Amino acid sequence: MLVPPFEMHVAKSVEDAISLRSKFGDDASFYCGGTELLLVMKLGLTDLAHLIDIKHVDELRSISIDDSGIQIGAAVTYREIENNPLLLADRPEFVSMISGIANLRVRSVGTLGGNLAFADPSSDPATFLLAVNGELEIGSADGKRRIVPMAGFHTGPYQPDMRDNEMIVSIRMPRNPSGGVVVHERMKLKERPNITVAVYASAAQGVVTQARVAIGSIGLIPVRFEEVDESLVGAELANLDGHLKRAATLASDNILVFDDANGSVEYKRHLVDYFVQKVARKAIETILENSNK
Amino acid sequence: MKIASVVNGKRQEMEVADNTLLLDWLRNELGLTGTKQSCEVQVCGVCTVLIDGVPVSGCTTLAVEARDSDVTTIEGLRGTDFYKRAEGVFMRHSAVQCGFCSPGFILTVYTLVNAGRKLSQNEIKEALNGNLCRCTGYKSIIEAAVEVIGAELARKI
Repeated sequence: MLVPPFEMHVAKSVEDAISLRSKFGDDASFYCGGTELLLVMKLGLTDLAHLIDIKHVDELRSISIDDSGIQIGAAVTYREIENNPLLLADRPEFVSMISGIANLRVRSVGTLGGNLAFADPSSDPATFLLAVNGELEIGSADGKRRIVPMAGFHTGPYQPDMRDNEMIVSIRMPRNPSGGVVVHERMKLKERPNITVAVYASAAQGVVTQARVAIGSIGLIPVRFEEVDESLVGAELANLDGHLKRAATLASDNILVFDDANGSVEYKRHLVDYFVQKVARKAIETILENSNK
Repeated sequence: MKIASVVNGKRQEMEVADNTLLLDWLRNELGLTGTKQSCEVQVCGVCTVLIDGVPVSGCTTLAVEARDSDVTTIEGLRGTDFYKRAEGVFMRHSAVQCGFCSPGFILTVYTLVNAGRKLSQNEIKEALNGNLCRCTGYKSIIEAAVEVIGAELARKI
């Protein structure tokens, strides 16, 4: 299978990359690991005359952890995340989610920024970041940077909320908050997950005070529902089953899914029901056991 | 783009079109046909090659990514002591049927050995989930991989 001809441009900085993108307009795309873009090009789904290689831009390749949180450059590969001891110590559940993506070779070159910019409906990272209130730093042609929440960044399948002359510079998330727990699970029958659920929960005096349930890889974009999150607040070990059933029912009623090769609407709603209960139970039982200690 | 690259220890300098895939460059330009072509969507692993020791899918990697780098294909491993030992173990376990997937499996096992971390049998299975064997000889392949990785790590310590 051939990739249609194009010209490669190697960007030296974020500004350089954005100015190249502005110059070539819709004829160009940023290029990094190529694990999504080259597939799309091989299938003839896009016709790009210019690729702008951003993987040699230092600013996009750094990982930092400090009091303000965790910041991961858009061109950091999954492999680099897996091998980073500081991330593993601070966010083991994030690193474990990353190490289950696709396969060894995809993780060697695939990047977190690329995954979020491509906005594939099947995304473990996007779902995880939604549960932990992740944010993105977006750079634009006028040199300004803006920070946007992960929630709302994907407006539809393959549709990130960015203008043509913008790019993801870094991905941010809070450090593992004291007292908070995140649990992430996926069900994967083929290369991409059929469903991803990530749940954040915090508690005080044996009662859940906050919950965020993110459901991805099954609908058009990863989603959270306010009423699902709220239905888990107030849960205790004694009444957990009722709260979980209610959350799962609300989630499976609200989710927008379609019949396709991965299953029927009914089957997908069943998956949502099952995994919301399972993952939320794990998160809440863990946090309640911790808060009772 | 003009690229300079060391492929299996041999320096290569040539002009390649930006849209040339690494797999096509290795097979068609350099005649290294040990790297196989199959799924084309980086799922099956038969086109596994190493760039600076890192495994990539040749089918979804541009040849220009090999510039200023060391590329290792299965031909580059042949003749090494590792290869001879691994080949022996794979044969003893009958971990080869048609052999089409073997170069990818051997290169992936090689990178796991080089990572130097002790792996459980389940972790080895997980790490090999991106290499498909259409003869479905997974049981013996996993057994052989576990033995090779265990033995090679023991040699290193």
